[in-house]
Amino acid sequence: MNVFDYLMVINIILIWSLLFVNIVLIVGGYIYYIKVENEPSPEVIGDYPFVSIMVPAHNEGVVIVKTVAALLNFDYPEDRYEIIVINDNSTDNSAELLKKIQDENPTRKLIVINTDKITGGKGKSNALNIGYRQSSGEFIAIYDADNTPERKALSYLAAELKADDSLGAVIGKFRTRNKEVNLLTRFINIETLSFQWMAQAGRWQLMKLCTIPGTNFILRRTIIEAIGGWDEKAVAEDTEISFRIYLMGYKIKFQPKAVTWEQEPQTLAVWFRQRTRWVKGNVYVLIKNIGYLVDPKAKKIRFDIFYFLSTYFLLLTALVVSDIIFIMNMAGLVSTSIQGFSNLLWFTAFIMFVLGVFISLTTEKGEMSVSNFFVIALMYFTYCQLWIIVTVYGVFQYFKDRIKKQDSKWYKTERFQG
Amino acid sequence: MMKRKKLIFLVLVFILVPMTGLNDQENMIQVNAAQNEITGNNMMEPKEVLVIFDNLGIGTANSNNLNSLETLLSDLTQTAEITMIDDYQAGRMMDYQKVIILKNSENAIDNESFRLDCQKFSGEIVYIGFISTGLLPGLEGLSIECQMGRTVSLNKGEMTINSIWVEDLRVINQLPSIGEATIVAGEKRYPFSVKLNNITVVPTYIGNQSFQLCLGDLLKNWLTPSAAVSMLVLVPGIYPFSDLNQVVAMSDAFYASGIPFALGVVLIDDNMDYPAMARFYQVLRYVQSRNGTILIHRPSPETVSDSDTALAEKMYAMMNKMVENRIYPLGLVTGEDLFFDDFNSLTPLNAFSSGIIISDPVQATQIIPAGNETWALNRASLGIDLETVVNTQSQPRNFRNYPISTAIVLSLPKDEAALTDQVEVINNKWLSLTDYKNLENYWSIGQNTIQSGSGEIRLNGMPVSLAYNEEPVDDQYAYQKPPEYNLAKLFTAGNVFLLTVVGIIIIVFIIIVIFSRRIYLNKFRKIVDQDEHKKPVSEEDKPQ
Repeated sequence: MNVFDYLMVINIILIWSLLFVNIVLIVGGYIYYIKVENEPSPEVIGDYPFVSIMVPAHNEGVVIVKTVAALLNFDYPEDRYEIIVINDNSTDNSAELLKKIQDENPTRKLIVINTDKITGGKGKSNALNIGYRQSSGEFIAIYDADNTPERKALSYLAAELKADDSLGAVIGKFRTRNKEVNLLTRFINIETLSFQWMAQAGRWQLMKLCTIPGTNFILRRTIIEAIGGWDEKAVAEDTEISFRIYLMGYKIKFQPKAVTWEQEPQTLAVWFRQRTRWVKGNVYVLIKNIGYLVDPKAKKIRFDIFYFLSTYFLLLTALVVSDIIFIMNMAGLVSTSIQGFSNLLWFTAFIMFVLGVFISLTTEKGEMSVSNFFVIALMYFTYCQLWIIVTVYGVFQYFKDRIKKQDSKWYKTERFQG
Repeated sequence: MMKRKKLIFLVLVFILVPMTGLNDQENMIQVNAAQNEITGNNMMEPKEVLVIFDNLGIGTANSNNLNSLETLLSDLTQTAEITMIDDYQAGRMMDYQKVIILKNSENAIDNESFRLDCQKFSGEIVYIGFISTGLLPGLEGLSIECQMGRTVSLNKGEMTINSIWVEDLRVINQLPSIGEATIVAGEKRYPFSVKLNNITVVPTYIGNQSFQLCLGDLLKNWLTPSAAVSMLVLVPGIYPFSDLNQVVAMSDAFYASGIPFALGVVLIDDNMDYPAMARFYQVLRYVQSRNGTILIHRPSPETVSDSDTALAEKMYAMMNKMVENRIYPLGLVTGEDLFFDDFNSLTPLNAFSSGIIISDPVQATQIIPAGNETWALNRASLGIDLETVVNTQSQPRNFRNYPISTAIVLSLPKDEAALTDQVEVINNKWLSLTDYKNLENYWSIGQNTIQSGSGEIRLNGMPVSLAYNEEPVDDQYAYQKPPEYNLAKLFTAGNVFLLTVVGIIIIVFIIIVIFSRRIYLNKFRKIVDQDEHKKPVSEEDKPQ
């Protein structure tokens, strides 16, 4: 028995524990899916609440027209919602395109706020704060500029929020619009369905917890007023605001019938930059809120903080350390007296992973296919391994920024034509 | 590109940082004083000796020359750096006080930098082998005589080693001075070496023990003239399945004849609780009581383990077991090939301060030390065959010592007659043998520190008794399976448990997938039907 043996044991316990947590979430998520399927779709009872839809946009000329058109087409009374596009320090033709839409729809409440590098250009949180100051809705909905929400999405979200005063926000589901473009977008599509939609559903079903995903959600104006707007230092403003909503005593509900379709990165470089920003943002939120782990008043977010801590530090460290020990062992630099688990176990764990993810795909039209089954298998060896690299890199970048006392830069995901 | 570099750097940091941290904790074998005392290649000493050779002489009589030279230097506790003439870089020679040039062939030297530096070098040079024209000033005038296929004798003072076959003898055609080493071929005597200003020339050198002793004499006077020398007797290769009765008989015979000796014991890292091991320890205790010293053979890393950590753990366990059984090894026995392994891979064997370097039974390849640097123990002896001793004549009969520290390597006699012969040869030679434990020896592994000197062995500072008490060994010993690591059990149990859990989860997942398919078909029947009939999806089903 040496120190490497003990390290291996700790790593294995961590990895398997988190694996089981995710399996429980998949099962919980599936139960919630069945439940939602058997329920009628939510309808607004009484007067439709007035909603301000905010769309932060920075050089989004490629996609903005389609997005605004989808927002204008909501199955929601036209006089009961306004659209505020914050055209944030764009250098492309976004301003002209938006002006044209405004001119074509003179009767609609479409507000375009054009900022420059002095008044804007400081990231998504800052843009949302600018838009919020001009909004007048009792509910605030947020959509990213590359989104194409389905017609009923807004009414489902508003109906849920109006019906339950204990809810601070309601989030919808997002799907991959460009999933057929290449293997990477197919991976992202599967990831979105399984690790986001199923995991969110599972957390809601089992713990009444959800994390705002950054788009396709609605929240109460009173909450934004109470917390003083978005934290402009947070590059993952969605996670950040979720924690603040929990701490106010509200719940965040997941309504999977409210669907938006969004464009995902089509190249590895764009994907890598986007995910690095997510990692950095989540690490920022985690460190900012780590104290709540032991705060008796913050019971609600304890699981989420622990979940983030596990994902970004414990699981990551366990994977990296066990990989290093494995490589060093192979190279004869260290010796471990334990052989670990049998190959059969690792194989069955792999099958379990593939089936678990596949279950998520059975909930969506056109996804339950043999080809997707093999894509999941391939994903295990490729996309999932990239996650380790991106997370290591993101955590490193975060701490590098902290040491250099730099604020994290908000990297805008590049858009693609189509 | 920059980001990729950063990523690679990060991965390296993740690999290296835990390694350094963990290694500190891992070292079960404590780095000890003896290790620090080793005159290793990483010591902060001024550079003393540079060995420059032209080639390995493979396929010629000179094929062992470099090995034997390295061994000699280590025997003289001298470290050196080694380079080939072809790899020699201008000015390097000037960083050293002393240079040994080993010329194994007549091939011309192409490295002009080397030629120029030889001309300029003002330090001391020992030049061994074929003389290269114009390389060193002053050598041109030497008259070298070549004789093919001669049996020669080497003579130094009162000692002569006879019957040495030399294929290609090159001698300096001049009369030797009185007292210096000579080569005797037939009736003629030639100097073994001549000194011309700062250059000592040895025209013939073949890497056998006779020439090694003669060159050793020269190098000792050149490097460490005041160092004491000793002669030991070593019986190597003893392990639990050797003829232990013969070991006991040999110990008695040597004891009766007043011959101090050392036993080279091969370490066994498994089945240490077997009755055979108990009996073996009993014999070793007996050997110690008969004025024998226990030395241990350096295990080959390839046969013990491919990891230093595992070797260290095994060494710790084996040495601990020996000390528990009142066996006190005082040094190391190692072959040339293992001796010149990478210095860093020797842990924990470099915990020993002394040892005996013996020739390898099969000289397969030339050994160039890893990093081109040799290392040395604090004190070492060169293993020589009994045949060399037999071929050595001395006047007067009292043999005294060879010019360098040596250990006469004897095989374990097969029977009483062979034992009698061995004892007779040693007695007839009137050898001046040294008891190993009279020398200063030291090692420290784990909790145990052993020292010796003045005929006494001390364990952790306390003198130990070497008296032998018979202890019965249970012949009815029943093998007991060694306790497995708790973790191994944990993992076996964990494996079964997880397989069961994962199996159940897979079954549950399969049921969910089957169930989901029904829901899926009910919910999306229309699109599935359309897919089957290759119809386009209706507008309603498309995303907005």
